[in-house]
Amino acid sequence: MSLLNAALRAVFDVALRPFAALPPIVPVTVVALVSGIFALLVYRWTSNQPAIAAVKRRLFGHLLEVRLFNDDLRAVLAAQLRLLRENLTYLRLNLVPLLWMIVPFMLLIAQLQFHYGYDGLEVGERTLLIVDLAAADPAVAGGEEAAPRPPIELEAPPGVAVETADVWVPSLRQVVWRLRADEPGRHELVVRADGAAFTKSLFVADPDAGALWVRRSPTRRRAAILDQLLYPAEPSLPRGGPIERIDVQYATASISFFGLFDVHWLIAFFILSLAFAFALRNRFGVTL
Amino acid sequence: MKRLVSLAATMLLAGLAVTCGGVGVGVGPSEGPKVIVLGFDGLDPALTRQLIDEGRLPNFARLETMGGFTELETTIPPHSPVAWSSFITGMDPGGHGIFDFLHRDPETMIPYPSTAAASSGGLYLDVGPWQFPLTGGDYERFRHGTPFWDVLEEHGVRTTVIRMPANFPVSGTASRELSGMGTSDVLGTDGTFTFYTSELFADRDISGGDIVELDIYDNVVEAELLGPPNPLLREPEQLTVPFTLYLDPETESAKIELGDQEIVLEVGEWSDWLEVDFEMMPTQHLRGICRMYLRAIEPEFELYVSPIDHDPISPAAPISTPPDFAAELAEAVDRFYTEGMPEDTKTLTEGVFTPDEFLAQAKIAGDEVAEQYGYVLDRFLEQRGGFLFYYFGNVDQIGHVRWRSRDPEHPAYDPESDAAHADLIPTLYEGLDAIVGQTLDRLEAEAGLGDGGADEPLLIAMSDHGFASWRRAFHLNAWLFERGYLTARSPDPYADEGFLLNIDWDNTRAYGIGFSGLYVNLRGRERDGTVTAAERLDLVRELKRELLAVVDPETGQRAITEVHLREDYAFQEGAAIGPDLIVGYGQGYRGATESASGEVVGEVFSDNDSPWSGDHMMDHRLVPGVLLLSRPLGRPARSIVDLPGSILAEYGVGEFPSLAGGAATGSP
Repeated sequence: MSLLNAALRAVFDVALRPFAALPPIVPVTVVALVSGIFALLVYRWTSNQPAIAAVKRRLFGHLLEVRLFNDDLRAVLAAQLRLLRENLTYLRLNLVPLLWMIVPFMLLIAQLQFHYGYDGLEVGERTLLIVDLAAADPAVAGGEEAAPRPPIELEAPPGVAVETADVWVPSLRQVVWRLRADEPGRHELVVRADGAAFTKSLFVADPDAGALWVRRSPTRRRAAILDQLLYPAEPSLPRGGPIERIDVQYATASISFFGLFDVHWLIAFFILSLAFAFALRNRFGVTL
Repeated sequence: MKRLVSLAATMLLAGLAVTCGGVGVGVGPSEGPKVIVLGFDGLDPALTRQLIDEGRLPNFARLETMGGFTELETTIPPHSPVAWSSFITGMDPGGHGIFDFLHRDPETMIPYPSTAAASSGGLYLDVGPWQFPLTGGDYERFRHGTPFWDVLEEHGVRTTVIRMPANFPVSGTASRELSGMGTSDVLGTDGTFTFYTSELFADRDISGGDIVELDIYDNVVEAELLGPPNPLLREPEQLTVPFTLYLDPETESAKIELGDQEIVLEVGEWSDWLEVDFEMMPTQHLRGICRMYLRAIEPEFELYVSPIDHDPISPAAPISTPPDFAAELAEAVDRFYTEGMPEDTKTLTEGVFTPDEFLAQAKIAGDEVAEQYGYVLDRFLEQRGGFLFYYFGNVDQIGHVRWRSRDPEHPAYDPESDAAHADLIPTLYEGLDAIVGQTLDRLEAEAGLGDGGADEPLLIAMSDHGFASWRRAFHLNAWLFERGYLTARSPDPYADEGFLLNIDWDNTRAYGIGFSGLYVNLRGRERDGTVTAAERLDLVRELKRELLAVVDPETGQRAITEVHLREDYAFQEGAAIGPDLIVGYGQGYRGATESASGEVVGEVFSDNDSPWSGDHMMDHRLVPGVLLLSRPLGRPARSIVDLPGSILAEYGVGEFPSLAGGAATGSP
């Protein structure tokens, strides 16, 4: 999984780099177009097209039945039942292509989320660095009650100021610092605990370069399968290490939908990919 | 395939065109010259003169050279909402109907804020515990008369009116408008802070705030932000938002969680704006903002939370025109205090903050206003012609609570702490001078100021009143009580709850409420009136004569040097709600706060030992305002009442307010 994530990060970083300075609706539209075509091809290859065409014809027939025999209550109710049954059949026929698509789309969405889901910090903006420590071994730590301040240090690179001392929250096993972004760029913070060093990326936008839509990682977590799937933007933290996760706060981003309204990129992506898929279904010979 | 390419290309181009270029906001045409009015609340002419002469206000000096510096006569009484209402309408209080900060309802004898109040929706649909308003609740503005910017807009002049006092809810007639003094917080008050502390028995009744005692377990504090009663419940419960603090005594800092926001504060630090989301029901929310100040962790935990203001991004109150203008300002600069008087003076007068802590809070409020001015000025200068008013209240509010630092004769003067702040107010004046300089430079560079052209822009720097030291307090109701005009239900001062509740109305002929108002208990007007209409004028004249003769036994000075009758106002259309007499205090005197809020017994005179040491609610001749111009006015203004007419004359619009449709029409 780690290797797959590393490969996907490299692919998406390269593929989306030409769009980094453009409004995010542009790459989202392009990716939605490619995704719509991909979904049509997968659908064509993995679905039972003749059965789907047949069930759609039957659905249309039953709708016509309702319309034509609307003075006959029994006929209308029977047609409604058949409509329900055919709908369930239609859903069953869609299940197979859906299962084929679900994994690649999850990987795609997870990658895109870290490019378009968060606003980068601006110069002068503040954020928190939150380190969640692994649960203490009561035998070693002297029990939860003692909760001594852990020997943990933060090294910030030039361009990032650490504004506060480390705030130790024993009840959450958290250590928190407040940071201020002083210079644009991709910075690497280093957290030292138990003699080991753990890095965390921090992206600060360049005010002179305008908005730059590149990968931003709000969280780095331990190597659990689900976390690796959902948070692929940075390599996982080692299992068995002293740190569960390291978070920085980025604001949730919204993108302009062609100047009409602001929306989360995922909604724009679904609207556009569905629109492209419906617009191109006949050209690709697909019955949806 | 062509269709595919065409579809994708069209969407991409649309995306690029709209999102790269932005949606152009048409500034549209505007008639006449550019006129900018900088409203400096409480700027005192004597101090301004002194600082100009000392060379500390070079830009005020530039203005004086260009167009002159004169005193501007203020209103009777010289209170901010009164004077600014006169500036808005061109009428005296008898016309616009704002006489004080507090008025009273003669039918109920309950005091209420003079400029605006919230009114709840009239019709509700009851469903279980919920009530759904069928008609919207609203805010009512009590000022009569037509704002001068209505007339400008009618004549094609695009107007921008920012933080005009006594303009809440906003008039809705300016092109861009943000409400000012009089705007409430989400509780509907002038601003109610909350002070959380672990100190035992700290809870006490204070004005302008709540003190909440908390327990700390394992260095964790669970607390709630306090909102208004839920208006959607038939039996309203107070809306609250929980928040948690994790204290770290070793580093004297805390992590604070509020909703999905997490911040870290060290002791002595202020937070940025935090969003507060009161859930009235799952689909209905009241959104506010607040700032937090972590005052101490040990030996006692102390946290100040500012009044919860309306969130300018989605305000529940009518604070701007167009309604999304407040959000535009917030997105351009940052969220900001939306309450009318953001400097939290009550923290100082109630002993919650030290002077330095208060000044830090006031600086945050003042910096917001100054920073926002840059954005507003940019937008204004983009357009052709137009009128801009922008209000600065920092000098007035800080002046109230720090004036004694300039007055070693003040009874509460503290040589140690006050001497350290002796230059504070002049420094604030220098800040305003920088604003004037910024404006002059921009007008010269971008709008042809000094070119002598036909439409040469005009910069006006003005204040509604000046300032003076307040050393001695005169308790008007106690004086009325002592002289037999007023009878108290209980002569025990400790039993007096204020708000006129201790008055025996059946045996009272006159009473005071507000800082200058003296009312006759008139039969047929007041709920339990005792004085007939035929007796009223004689009583009023008798009171005037006696008040003007009052001498402070401790100083030998006359405490009252001006008494104005309601009948003396030139305008009478809005006079019915006003006091029968308006009391103007002599040099060093002001009406006591206790009497202003309706307490009736106690000493007649007392030393003012409050931090609130400077004031202007006295004889209006003692506290004139300031008028500085970049060129002489076509129609000179001697008084603040004249000024809107002079501004209209710059655009060739004639008499005001008569051209505006007469007094007491138009606005509610």
